[in-house]
Amino acid sequence: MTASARNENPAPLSRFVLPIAGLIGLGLCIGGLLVLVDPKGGQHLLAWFYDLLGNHSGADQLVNGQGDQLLAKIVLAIIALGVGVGGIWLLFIGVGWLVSLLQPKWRDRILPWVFVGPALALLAVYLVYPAAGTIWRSFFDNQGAFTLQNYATLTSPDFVEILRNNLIWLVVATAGSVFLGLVIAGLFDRIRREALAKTFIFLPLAISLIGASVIWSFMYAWQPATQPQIGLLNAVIVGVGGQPITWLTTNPLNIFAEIVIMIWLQTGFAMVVLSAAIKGVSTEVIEAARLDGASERQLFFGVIVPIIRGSIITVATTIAIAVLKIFDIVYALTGGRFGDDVVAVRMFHELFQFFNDGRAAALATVLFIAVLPVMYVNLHNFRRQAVEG
Amino acid sequence: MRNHTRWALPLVVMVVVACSSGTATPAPPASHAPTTAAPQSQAAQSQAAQSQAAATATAPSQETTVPQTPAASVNALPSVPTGYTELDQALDPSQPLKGKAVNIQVQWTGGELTNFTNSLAPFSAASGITINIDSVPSSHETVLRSRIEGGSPPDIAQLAQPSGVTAYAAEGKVIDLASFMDSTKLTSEHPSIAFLVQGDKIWGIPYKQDVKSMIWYPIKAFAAKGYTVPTTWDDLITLSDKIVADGSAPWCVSAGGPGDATGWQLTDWVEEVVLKSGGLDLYNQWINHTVKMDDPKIKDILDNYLGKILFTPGYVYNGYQSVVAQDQKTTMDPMFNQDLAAPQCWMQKIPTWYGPDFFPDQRVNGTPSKYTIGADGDIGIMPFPAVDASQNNVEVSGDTMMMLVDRPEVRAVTELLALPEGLQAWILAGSAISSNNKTPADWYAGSYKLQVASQIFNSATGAGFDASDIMPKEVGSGTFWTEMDAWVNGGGQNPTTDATLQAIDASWPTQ
Amino acid sequence: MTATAQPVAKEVGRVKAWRPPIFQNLWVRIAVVAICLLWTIPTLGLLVTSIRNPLLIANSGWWTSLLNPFAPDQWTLANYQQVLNNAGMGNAFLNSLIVTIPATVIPITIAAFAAYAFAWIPFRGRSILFTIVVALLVVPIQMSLIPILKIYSGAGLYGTFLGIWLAHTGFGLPLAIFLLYNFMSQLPRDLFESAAIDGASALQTFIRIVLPLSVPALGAFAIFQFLWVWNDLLVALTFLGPATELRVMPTALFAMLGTYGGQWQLLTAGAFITMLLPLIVFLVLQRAFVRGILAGSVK
Repeated sequence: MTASARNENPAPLSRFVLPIAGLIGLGLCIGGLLVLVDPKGGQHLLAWFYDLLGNHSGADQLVNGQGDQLLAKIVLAIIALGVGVGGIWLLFIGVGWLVSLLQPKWRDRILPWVFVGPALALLAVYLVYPAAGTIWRSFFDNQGAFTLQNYATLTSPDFVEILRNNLIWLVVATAGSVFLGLVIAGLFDRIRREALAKTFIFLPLAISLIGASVIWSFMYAWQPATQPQIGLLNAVIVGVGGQPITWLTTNPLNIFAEIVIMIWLQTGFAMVVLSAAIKGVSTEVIEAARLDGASERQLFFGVIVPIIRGSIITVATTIAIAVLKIFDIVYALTGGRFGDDVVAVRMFHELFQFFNDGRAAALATVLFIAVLPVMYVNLHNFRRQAVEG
Repeated sequence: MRNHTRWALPLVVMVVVACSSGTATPAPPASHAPTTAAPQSQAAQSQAAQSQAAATATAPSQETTVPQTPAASVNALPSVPTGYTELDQALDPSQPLKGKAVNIQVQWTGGELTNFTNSLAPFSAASGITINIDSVPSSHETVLRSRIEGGSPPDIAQLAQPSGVTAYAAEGKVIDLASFMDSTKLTSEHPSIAFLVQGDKIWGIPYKQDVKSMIWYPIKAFAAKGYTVPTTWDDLITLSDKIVADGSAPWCVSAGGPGDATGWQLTDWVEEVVLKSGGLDLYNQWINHTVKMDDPKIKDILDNYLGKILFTPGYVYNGYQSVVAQDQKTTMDPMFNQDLAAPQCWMQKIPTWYGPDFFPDQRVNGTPSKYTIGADGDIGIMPFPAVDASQNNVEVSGDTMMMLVDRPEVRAVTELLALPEGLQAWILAGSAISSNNKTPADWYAGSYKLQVASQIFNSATGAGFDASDIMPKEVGSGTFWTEMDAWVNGGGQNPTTDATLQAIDASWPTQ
Repeated sequence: MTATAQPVAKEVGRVKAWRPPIFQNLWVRIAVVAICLLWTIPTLGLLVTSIRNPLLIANSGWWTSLLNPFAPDQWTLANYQQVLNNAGMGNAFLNSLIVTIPATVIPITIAAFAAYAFAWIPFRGRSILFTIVVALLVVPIQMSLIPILKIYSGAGLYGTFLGIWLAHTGFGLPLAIFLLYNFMSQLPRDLFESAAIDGASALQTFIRIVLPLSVPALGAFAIFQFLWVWNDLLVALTFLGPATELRVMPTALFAMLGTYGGQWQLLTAGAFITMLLPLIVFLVLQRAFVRGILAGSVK
């Protein structure tokens, strides 16, 4: 820590600067918020500046939806960053300063809520409220009468298959991504051009869903044996004398074909995080293990992996949740029509195509319940860390 | 105290940006100004100008605001009095609704969007009403449902399925057209409006219609081989066998992805044969589920008609496995083999909205196709042959317009859409049929495709609207598609026809 | 957790020290090259397809162009030209930037404060609240769209940038808090104890100790949030609406393709263009990762 950071006694000047600067900041934030809430705020603000500078025609054009629209957007974005980032800091600093005037007892009670407050408020609006509404909705039919039918239909073979598919996804995709990410992170840790190699693995994460579904349809494309194959996998199979396989319409092969795409996408994520964790393992531990005569494989799986266990669980949880919610890949490639339907795709169809809001809500609720064991493992892990740390 | 300056940074940046731009922006719009004098947003103007420039060369255009300068060839407005109050008002020379805006969400894009835009242009110019078209080619239904349920609906929306319109109506989201339009005029001019009428309420306008009972084929190659157009099912099978014996596949069929909207090709086949064998009575009972899916008559159609086409070895190009594995967009490509001199498949059942957009050259390059549709052209169209000669029914489908917000200018546009003039430019472009029976026949005269379609339609004794578009949505755009896909994919054996039909029956909502 | 108690300053520059001579092992190198190749094949296909003659795409595999690179009429840049010349692409790019940058920075700021409080400031209900936050990870976004849109319609936020920034912030917060908590909770306790002895307030501790040490985690989340927002179609379509002047890159790309399109060359070229910026962000932030880790790695 630097010397200046230790300076705990502010100069007399800053005793005035702090509140004044805070007030100016508050004013700016309120002004910024007003601009942000106005649907044409950027245009209006910029027009106001133009008027100030005497450019009245430019101002009129702006308000009428012409002129420097782009600039108006950029101004708006800067204000958003200012309010979003600056406002949060101001809030913490300002309120932090205010509560520091209080007795320590009160200060310690209030301060944490200032820190978590903005996050909790946003979460309440964007996730808790819809989630509560969803659970509520799952007990009503389209006419608004109470029913358990939405859950009862989930026991039909149709839905049992969907739940089974999600389970396959959960196990195979999560384990595959984490294991490959771990091995690749460990392997790449020992080469010279590590950053370059990692970029290759990370690359798929940067590809949009549109791109990923296009390119994998070129991997899995099927043509009859008499035709030239345009799918790489079938071209290889035909090349070695096999029969082309309909990867995406043969059940349950198609489930695994789709899981491969997910693993291809998520391994990069696992690798990035686990690689950071591996680099954090202390040299002494490794040297000690090596002196004990551990082989490189023993060192990795016997020493390093247990140490970074916490990170592995974090990565596995993140991926598991993404997998439970898997939607894009299935929707784009087959729409879940060949025995490969999953909860999120079915929920989407029920909600947006069949107008069965209640059943969609029941499916979403099942997802909540399905994730509870995953959460339990995590919290257990946190608690253990809290004890050990 | 470094952190205290952080919030000040945005202010500094803001001021700097504002000042520098204030001096640097004397007259930016000058270069955009001359395109038209009409009051539009600059963004839309420059975009329209660019897309006009690009239209001849390459990409499908992306216009969103209807240009108020109509295309030269079309200048038709309904003559006042039109029979609808608000439309008359809007067309008054004093332009009482000038400056108002109406927002329409459609799933059309490319050529279809251009045709739709052009159809509304004369009205927009005459009334001064700005018409903004939101084209949402993918996720149209998702965006629409979010907007409607979320309380920010478009003023008017297009839906391909009447079942969607009535579902929104049941939730109270749709404006009853009978509340302000002459319902007698509306229903008498639109025979296919029946599915949108509930009691004395009318939930939408069947704007654009398509005839589905047609088969497209390579007309010159047909003649060269001495094949004749079949008029009965038996002829069709005889011809198919002959084509197989001559060494190629008679049928181009595929319903494959990528994506979600696949399966309708197969349900269309079933519907066609139900209409042409059991007639309208069976058809309507089947839609109402008084005749079940696993009724012997329906099972017979799957096993002995559709199954005959799909599963007879050599009939379908590349075999039945390719039906769901092959991209539906490329279905007709093998027909164009060697410039249609040696088709690898010969017949595709596809509705009127099909066209050069899908021919391999235009689809891939975006440039106008070198192939033509016509009696003297490359691709011909034949009516779907009779199955039971006494049941001469035609299958149609269509795009419905529903009104979601009630304002005078929205009423005026809705009323325009109910008249043939609201579709005229599209008709004259040779790719749309109005659902309005007052549409002048000579509007269709220039197009071979539309002539064939109107011939099929006029010679039929009855018309059935696409059943999957009317059945409850979880069946019509759900299990009916998915189970048919699975049935074809399993060669009709795995799952069996019985299991397939029973699965669809099981999914039928109980209410 | 034997390693956690080490003083931070000592760790600088230690990473290279333990590297075993194994990188000279031929098998490791072969394995690395093989994995990289395997992972890149699909992306390579995307790139090749995007510069192929469109007429070839549906009729032959993309690798055939690589096998006969000098065949006539094989390659073209017209696909990119077509995408870039398309009206509205430039506007969509700027809209994407305007949506993405605040929608990345704002949730990180809010989440960093919250994660710090959850990890290091004891307060009533902390563990229950944190459990709820983490459980919210599983709320499917599709279920949130309509309820949020209802709020937006009432508040006039539909079709505004503010609306979409807030939406992405709300949807991104659980993962952000979860990841940052995991990182921050593993910082050595001594740091906080010594800061407390120095009389630093919670805010000062956060600014001087937690934030600088959390750079790798902040960077990691920044990358993922950036990618998610940049490539998002559903949230943008729902909250910005389909109007042309508010289109972001994925919306514009889909609008260009058309209902029946099948224009693979535009899809692939467009996908590649949208990929470039995230890739640059990753390469830039990857350095920040490594630096952050070298400066203050803890585990």
